Amino acid sequence: MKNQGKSKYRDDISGSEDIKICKKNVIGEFLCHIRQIRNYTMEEVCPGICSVPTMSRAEDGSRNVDYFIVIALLDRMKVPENEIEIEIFLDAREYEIYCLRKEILILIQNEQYEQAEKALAKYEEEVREAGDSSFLQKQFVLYQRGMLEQKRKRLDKKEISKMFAEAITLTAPDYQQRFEQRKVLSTTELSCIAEIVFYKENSSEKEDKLKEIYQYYQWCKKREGVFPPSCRKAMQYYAESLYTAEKYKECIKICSETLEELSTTSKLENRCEMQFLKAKAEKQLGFQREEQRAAYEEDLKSTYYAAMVFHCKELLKEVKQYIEQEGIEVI
Amino acid sequence: MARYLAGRVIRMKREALNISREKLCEMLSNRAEKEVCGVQTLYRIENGKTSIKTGMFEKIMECIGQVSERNYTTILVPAEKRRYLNLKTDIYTYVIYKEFQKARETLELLESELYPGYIRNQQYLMEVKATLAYEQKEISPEEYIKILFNALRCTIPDLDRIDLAGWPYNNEEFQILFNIAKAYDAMKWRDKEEELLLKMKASVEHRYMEDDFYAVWHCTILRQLSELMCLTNQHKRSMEYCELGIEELKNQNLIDLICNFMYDIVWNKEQMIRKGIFPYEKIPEDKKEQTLAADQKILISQEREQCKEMLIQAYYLSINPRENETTKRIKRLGERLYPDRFKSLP
Repeated sequence: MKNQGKSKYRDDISGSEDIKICKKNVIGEFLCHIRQIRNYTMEEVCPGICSVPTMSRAEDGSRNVDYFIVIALLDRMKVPENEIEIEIFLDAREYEIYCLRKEILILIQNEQYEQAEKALAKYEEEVREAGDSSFLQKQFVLYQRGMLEQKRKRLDKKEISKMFAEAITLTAPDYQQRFEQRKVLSTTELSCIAEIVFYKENSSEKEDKLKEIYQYYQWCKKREGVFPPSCRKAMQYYAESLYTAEKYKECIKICSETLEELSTTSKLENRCEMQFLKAKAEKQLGFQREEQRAAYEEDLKSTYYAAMVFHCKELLKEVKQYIEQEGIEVI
Repeated sequence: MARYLAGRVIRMKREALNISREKLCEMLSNRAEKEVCGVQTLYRIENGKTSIKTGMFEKIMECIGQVSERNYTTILVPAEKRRYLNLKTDIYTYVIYKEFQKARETLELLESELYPGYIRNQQYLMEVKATLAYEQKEISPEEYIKILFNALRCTIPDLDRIDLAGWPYNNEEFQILFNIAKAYDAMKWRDKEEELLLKMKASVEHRYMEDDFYAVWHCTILRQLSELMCLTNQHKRSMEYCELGIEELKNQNLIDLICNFMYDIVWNKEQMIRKGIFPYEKIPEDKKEQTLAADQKILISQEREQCKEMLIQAYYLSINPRENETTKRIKRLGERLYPDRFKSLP
């Protein structure tokens, strides 16, 4: 094969200063790069997380900044943790906290509530001396507690909503303003906003607010080229509110958009919920052709089996009941 | 990208290179002309009981022959040219869809922007160029494998004297090893393929990376192993790998690959039933003679019923979000084994 790729660099450049500097500070350089291509200033990104000088030091690598602060800054710029294209070696403490976080997420997702409670208590104990990032750790705990109680359905709606409100004010006390003025919010903060709106009593106010959140996400997509992953749940809430308001066509549109977005990940997330909602909305609209009805039945079966395999107990019950009513045969 | 546990990575590399803790501390001291790290401290670092001080990690990694930075990119370009890293994904996609001309053009573009002196850039270029040449049949599988091993030596200079099962590979190194395994497969060098996959599996099972990366890498290897076992008629082993894979994917809520494992389990069970091995062995030894042919038939039909259900689940899981090659494969098997249920599917 011809050697066509003539490099712009001379071969003797391997030890050059450029590379040495580059190598020394990869994570800072990554932070800087993302900020520049997404057109943010430090003043926009760091309020509530760290000071501008700290972010500046994180970017030029002159100071070792707490891993969780760097992650939070990237989160503000809508870079989810698993899309950071550098390998990171964490030391024991950071790694332990990082793994505990993941454990908590999985336990909550798998509806193992008792164990999730224990893990959260352990996490709080571990991060007691977290230093710089203690408020971020606190935010994580509050947010996860909110998610846990939401799934458990033991507490009053107002109390759960309060947890999310407390969580967001730790890093963005002025979140209402920031949201309205299209200022930068992290995926965690956006998720908190969606949850707070979810617990609103007035359903038409709720639908309006959810639509605003949806529009905010559209703006994010335009600005950064991608939907931030927290959009999936918010889209689900919006689609559900449209279904309740009998706006089935719009509901289907939002569900399809979300499912398309979900197809970019191999995680299950709320795929089943969105498929189920879409199927129900399609039924409400009615079928003009036989193929539409057949596709609808296939979608339902797909949801049913996915929920079965991944043990989504609550959803499985609902889908099973619905399928039986429809007279569709499954195992 | 993956998060690795620094201490565990250090330990694995040190042991793979046969360097004792004392020796490593000595090497560190020699470099710095003073005592840098005691044996006790090193022990504590490796076992996650102490945090590593700034700069220490880099010094240790230098001693065990690794690039020295704590966090490092997969390939390196100057800061302002980072958008070229997206080209890497594009090239990968073009290769999968066999659009080789586009792949080559994109590779040329990327190569002109990469620092040539950075070993990971060199490794990447070697690997991609060789893969393109191999896919277009310009080089033989043997040559391809040779080049891939050389590419590995870029970042693992001591490749020939370490135990492959004990080295903490990163994403790129895994990809190269995986390509080697697939090349062995293409040449039907089944023993070599199995040996390599088992070593990769053993390495991953040290769990030196975070859980969902562990699950993805582990399951990718298990999948390849399961297929190999199918080809060599080792049905039970194949099913064991599949069951392990399914368990992990369920735990991490990962939807990819799960239907492939389910397919393999069904295929294997049906093969074993056809060959008279299964479920005959489920009957206790002392009862085998007494078990009537009729009862055996009942057992068999129960097993087949379970298989049918599993294949149906697999079918419906695979059409998320849309039908693909796996769906077609599942449908073909289903139509052959359970025509009553599968013929009516869209």
